[in-house]
Amino acid sequence: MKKVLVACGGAVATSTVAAGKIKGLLKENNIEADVQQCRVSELASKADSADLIVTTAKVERDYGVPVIHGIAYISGMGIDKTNQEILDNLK
Amino acid sequence: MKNSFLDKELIIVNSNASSKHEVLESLGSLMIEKGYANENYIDGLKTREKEFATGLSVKPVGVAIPHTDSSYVKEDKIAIMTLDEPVAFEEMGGSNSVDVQLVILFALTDGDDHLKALQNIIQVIQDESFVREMVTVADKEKAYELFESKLTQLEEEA
Repeated sequence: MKKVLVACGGAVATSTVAAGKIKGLLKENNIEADVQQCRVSELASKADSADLIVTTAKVERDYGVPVIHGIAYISGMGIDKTNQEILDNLK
Repeated sequence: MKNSFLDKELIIVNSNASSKHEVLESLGSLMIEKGYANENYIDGLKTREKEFATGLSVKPVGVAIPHTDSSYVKEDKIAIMTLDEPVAFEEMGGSNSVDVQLVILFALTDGDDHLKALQNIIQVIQDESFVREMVTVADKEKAYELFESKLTQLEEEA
């Protein structure tokens, strides 16, 4: 099963909202994946086991895994595009 | 669920704060005074905002959602501020500056029980007409009523 890490500063607020949206998106598209939240500071140690990172923070580091910016899930602007990026990455 | 997150005493309308630090100090002080956050809460807010900015470039005015580690927080609350003049926040996930006129501060303890409430509050920010109305309210009673009725509406729709 694919694994998606959803990261923000504290793994409590914005990643919670984004992870909720992503879980809904994957369910609608019949994609089985393990969606986990974490802090950006934990990405380095957790990225190895992940297939995709979605983050609401500014992340410039290369974790060897695709990184998608998920601010759309918070601002509401550009959600369709972000959804598509995630689906394309997990197919 | 009742909107226990909201508290009339945690609302400041038409603030003349002129920097994001002033915004965080005013709202943070309220949280501390009311006993909802620890003494060092404001430092926590500033540090987090610097590292992980929370400005959102939404319509019709920018909104910021400052928050910090749950370890600073004693009770799940949101504090609200509307500003007379926009204040610059850095954009979440980006490097642009956003002119913010509505600030919604999240004070969240750990746990999953705030997920639904959090989703609804984020939903509120994405509602252009709501944001427009919020920044023009004249007093905190009105701001409270407006916010509460919007949240109640979202809960009923869910």
